[in-house]
Amino acid sequence: MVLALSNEPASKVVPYVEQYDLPFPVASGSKAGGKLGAMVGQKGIPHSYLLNPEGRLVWHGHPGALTNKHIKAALVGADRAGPNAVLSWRGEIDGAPPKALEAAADGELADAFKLIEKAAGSAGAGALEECLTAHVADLRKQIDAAVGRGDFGQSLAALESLAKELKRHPLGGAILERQREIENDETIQNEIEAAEALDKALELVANRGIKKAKKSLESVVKRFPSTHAAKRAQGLIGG
Amino acid sequence: MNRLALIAALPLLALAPAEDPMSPEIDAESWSRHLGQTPSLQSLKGRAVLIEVWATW
Repeated sequence: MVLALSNEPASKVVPYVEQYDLPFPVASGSKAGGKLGAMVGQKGIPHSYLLNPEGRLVWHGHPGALTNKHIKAALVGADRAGPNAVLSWRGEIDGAPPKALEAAADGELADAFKLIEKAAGSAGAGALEECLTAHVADLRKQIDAAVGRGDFGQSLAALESLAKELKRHPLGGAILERQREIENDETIQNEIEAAEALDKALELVANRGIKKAKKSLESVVKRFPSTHAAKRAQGLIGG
Repeated sequence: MNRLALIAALPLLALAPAEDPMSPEIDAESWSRHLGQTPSLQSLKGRAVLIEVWATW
């Protein structure tokens, strides 16, 4: 997982993230970068820190010096991110059923809710249920925000996982309804088609360079005017 | 020799395990492009994490 931390305010960071369409989580107003730097005697930025699955720092340095070897070493023993990884919730709650906590950490929210129900009445179970309900609400907000900015790939996959996971839970009804709304929304479907066409054009950019991919990018602009993908393609072509 | 050994070990000692209070928590005023539980040392347990400390300037 890649995380970017900046100590600058969101008013500076967010426009940059939007302009360059950064595909990973970016923190604004974070002090953690400064603390990490102080721990290793590093003042300059940019600076990268690679943590292994146990949370230990296994490498740090300039991002340009990071190699596949470093990454492979850090990945040893790491959990594989399955389709439910985005649904995962980890936390410690006194008295919560341990198996429910484990299920939540694995993103198996339906199982977690079932185990909570079995332990109904205990304070820990109630607290965990509140946390997971809030987590599902957060996920829904995040998915809607991502759809709103034209980031469909990850967000729609997350919506599908959430709908599938909670199909037999009372929270699942509204999620399934949202999934159907998106499937029937012509504007969003057009955006998704445009995003797929842009992905193909970007693959061409990566393999053959922007000059050779120019026609593909122009085709995205022409076929899907007024979409997020067309805006990005136009930005890459220039003008 | 001792100094070299210390330098080599430094990266491993620099961050204690996630539950160690000396490890800096991943704080933020806000997150962009994030899907899932708000990142924290606890939520990232079991994953390899690349943290990029950067600025827009």
